[in-house]
Amino acid sequence: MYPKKLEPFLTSVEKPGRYIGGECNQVEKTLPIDVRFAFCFPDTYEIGMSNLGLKILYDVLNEQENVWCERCFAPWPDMGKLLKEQQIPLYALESGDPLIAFDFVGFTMQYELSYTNVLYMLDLVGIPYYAKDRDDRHPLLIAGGPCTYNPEPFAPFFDIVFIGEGEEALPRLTALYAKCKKQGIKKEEFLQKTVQLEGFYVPSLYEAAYDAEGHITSFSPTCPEAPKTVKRQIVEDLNTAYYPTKQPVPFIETVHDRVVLEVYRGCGAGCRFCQAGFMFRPIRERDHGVLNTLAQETIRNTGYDEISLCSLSISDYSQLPNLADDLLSWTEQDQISLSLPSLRLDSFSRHLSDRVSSLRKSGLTFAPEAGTQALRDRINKGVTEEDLLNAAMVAFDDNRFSIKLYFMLGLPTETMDDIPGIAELAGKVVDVYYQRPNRVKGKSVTVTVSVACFVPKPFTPFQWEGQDSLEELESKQKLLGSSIRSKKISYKWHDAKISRMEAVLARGDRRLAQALVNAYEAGQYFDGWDEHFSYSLWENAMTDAGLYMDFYACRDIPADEILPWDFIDMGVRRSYFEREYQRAKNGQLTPNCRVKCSGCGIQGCPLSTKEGN
Amino acid sequence: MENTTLRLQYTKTGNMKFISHLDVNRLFLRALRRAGFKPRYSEGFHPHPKFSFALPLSLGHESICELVDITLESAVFPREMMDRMNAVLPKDFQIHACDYAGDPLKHAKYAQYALTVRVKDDAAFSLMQKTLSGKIIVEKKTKSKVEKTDISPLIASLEMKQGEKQVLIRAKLSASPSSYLNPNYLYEALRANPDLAPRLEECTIMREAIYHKNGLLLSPMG
Repeated sequence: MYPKKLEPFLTSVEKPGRYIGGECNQVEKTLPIDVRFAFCFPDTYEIGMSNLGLKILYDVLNEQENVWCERCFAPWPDMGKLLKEQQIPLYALESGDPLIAFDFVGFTMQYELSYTNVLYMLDLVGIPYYAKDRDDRHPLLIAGGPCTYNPEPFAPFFDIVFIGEGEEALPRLTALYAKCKKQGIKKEEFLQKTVQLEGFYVPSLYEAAYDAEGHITSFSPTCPEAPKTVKRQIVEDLNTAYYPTKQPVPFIETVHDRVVLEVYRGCGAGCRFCQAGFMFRPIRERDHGVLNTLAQETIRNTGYDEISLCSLSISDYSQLPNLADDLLSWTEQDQISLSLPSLRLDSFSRHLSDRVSSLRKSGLTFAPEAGTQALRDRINKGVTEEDLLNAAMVAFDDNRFSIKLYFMLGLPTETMDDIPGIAELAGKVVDVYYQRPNRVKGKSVTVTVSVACFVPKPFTPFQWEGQDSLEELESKQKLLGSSIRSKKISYKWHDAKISRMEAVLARGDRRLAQALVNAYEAGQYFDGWDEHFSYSLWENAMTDAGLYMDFYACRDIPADEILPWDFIDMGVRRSYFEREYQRAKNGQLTPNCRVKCSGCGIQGCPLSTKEGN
Repeated sequence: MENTTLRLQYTKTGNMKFISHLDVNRLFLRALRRAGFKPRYSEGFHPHPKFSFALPLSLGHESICELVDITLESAVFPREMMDRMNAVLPKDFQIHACDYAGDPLKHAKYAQYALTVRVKDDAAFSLMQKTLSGKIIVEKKTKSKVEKTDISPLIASLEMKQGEKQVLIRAKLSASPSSYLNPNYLYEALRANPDLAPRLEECTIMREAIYHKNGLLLSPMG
């Protein structure tokens, strides 16, 4: 639903189907209701509706009888402009009501460069950015999602930040709220109660102090109710965890327009740059039987004709053969296609691929991350050249002629010698193709080398490591470009300036909030979209807030310095990250958790052993 | 296996006018699965179900007479098809007639539209009458250039009625593939008149009927 006033204008914006709601399985409830929750995704509808987390929490909240959760996405700039011109406040898709009418306005923080979109959306709602400037008349602002593992850069905007997996914890918050609302309890007191719920951080109840150079000297609660550390919440058993089998089905095409089946959470590979690899620990698998039932129910309720198995590294799932058998017993005859993203083409997947005509023959993607074995060892990417060349061989035999290779530039301990290694490795893949005696004549191969820049992330062994300067990153990109000789290799690289902003925001403290406001007011939003990103605007925004990019992005942080996210207990011990950082410098590999427990300290891990800890 | 081809007539109104023709195709595909029907898939490398539509509808236009032929893998009664589909389709996108399809869905010849034009004053009416009589020159965009053309030969009939701050235009326009006239051009012709343009507020368009070659109404029964 949309406000009636909008009707005559909707055909003038791009893809109006994004703004109408009314999809199959959308949840509608009758007003009045105790708790109205607007679940906001600070990016486009097509991206937001592809997010499994949104669908899970939408359903979890709506399962509560006294809660109505609705959806809201960032309108594309043409629509944002229209809403402003027509003075129509941003609305939720289910009821068409303005967000100001809600009890909670919740944002899922998925990506650093979508932080300004939060301000953009608040601007379209017409409520103050800073929590301190709002009162009991305004909705409560809450943030969640992966970026809350360092919530500090946006903390001053929010009343509450939830840390962890929300399936079980969010209903505790809405229950508390409903109770307080009935008793007429004011916001201030409600927040003091909220901060006592595990995993709910109330930024206004904590204070940071800095020294003259800007380092944090203390970070502590300002009231006795607030705990010193905020404990990340997780779902213990994925078999009983909520899965949205009756999710809303978009009318328009979205990025992932299919059933996304979360096979397991967590990852044991321990790649030292990867935040997701540590953030989603411990490893928790869903039973293949449970997954099969969920898949069948979801297909029936949504009408989708494709299932994609989702996890950080699908071939590590211990029950993959059983799951494949379960699914294949009905998907083929029902014309449902299966896709396995980030597939490692080993013997098993080859076997699967031979059996299943409905398995999408996409190209192979492979992420060696670094060009030389020494560097791959230092980042703990347990992949060898042989693995890659074997996988390529299997792919070519399977008539897949495009291979995408992902790398990173600027990795810790990288030297200029590591860079031509990327070109050499890609060249070897091309050679594998032409050395095959049985190759199909006339068919060509494409190897895409896609190169990102290393971004140091909180809660990884590399969190202390400074990012390369812009000049270094750009000269490395050039060096790689000139090292690539084969015409069969296509080379793509990320804008180093965008990576630099990611690093600033990933490692930032709460003083960055002002830079975010400055950047938005100067016209920065949808920054994650290249065409909207302006580095010079960001530079000004930082300077005007009295902050320096290098301080956040490029500095090697000493181990004894207080990190902005130190108050969060995310499960993996700080000392473990320190040890892993040291092992990286020594070039020592740490085995996959499935091989041997290395004692990261996470609770409730089925792979954890006494000796490891 | 016994294939059945059914012809469905459906509405696309309200919210649903904002989804595109491709979205409609996807909507049918998913609704069939939700309703428990199996469409017949095409042979070939990328099998896909084939729906055949009488006439695509522009995004933003409403309709009460859309037609599609759908082939299912098994026999089903039209009434059952309609009921089960309506249970899983949005309320502004409902099937109101369904029957076995006879001949393949023929190319439409004409389509009738109701254009409701909201106007600021009563003087607009006579100006509109004048603009839409005789030759009606509009700018038509083709791939490479903008051309001025007279659309009046493509109008089979046109009548206008004055209402309270609005004018209703009922027009039967050519809809054959070689000379399809989008009803938007009528409104554009009105807006191109500099005396009239400031008096116009907005226009909504509803497709009311689709006609065969022989002039008969195209419907599931015909």
